[in-house]
Amino acid sequence: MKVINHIREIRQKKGITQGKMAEDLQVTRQTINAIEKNKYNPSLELALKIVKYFDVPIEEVFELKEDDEDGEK
Amino acid sequence: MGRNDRSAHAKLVENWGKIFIYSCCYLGSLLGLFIGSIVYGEFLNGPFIGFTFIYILFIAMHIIKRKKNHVPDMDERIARNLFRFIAYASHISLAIIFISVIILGLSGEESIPLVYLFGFFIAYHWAVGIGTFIIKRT
Repeated sequence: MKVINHIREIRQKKGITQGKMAEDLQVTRQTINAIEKNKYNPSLELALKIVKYFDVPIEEVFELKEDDEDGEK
Repeated sequence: MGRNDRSAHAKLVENWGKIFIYSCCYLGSLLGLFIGSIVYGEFLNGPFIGFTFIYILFIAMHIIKRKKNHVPDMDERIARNLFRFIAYASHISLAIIFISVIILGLSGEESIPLVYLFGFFIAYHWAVGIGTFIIKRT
């Protein structure tokens, strides 16, 4: 099971830059980039901050992707 | 002192505080050299050049690093990466010491010169320092 997120799409839709978002959430720009590329899963605190920042339901931002090994077979 | 005054002072301290600290350290070291020159009768050029170089280096680093935004230097991801790096570095270092002791023991050495240990510790600190510097920027 893997957590994926749609932060990049939502951020671009809202016209927010990575730098602005990093400044508002008090994290580094590299961290925002790592989260968007699914290289780093944010802590629950940061995840909730992101959801609050975008003012969207958590399901729209984060998604638990199940391994579809059975589906591929 | 009003709130606006305080924020103005905070900005002033943020911009000039480190330069003030570096300048005070530099002036203190110059004073020490001056007193030393009075006591011993000669002015030491080597430490003077060294102190001046370090002072200029620190001022230059401060000016280069002066932040234009309010993004923090450290966050949860960097803290986690640093923790992992230091855990790995310390365990690998212990392993190196352990293996070195075994190899030296098997090769017939009965004692290890202290300079080897100091060299190893200094190398460890350099490696951790450089690694930390790199991790904080990735």
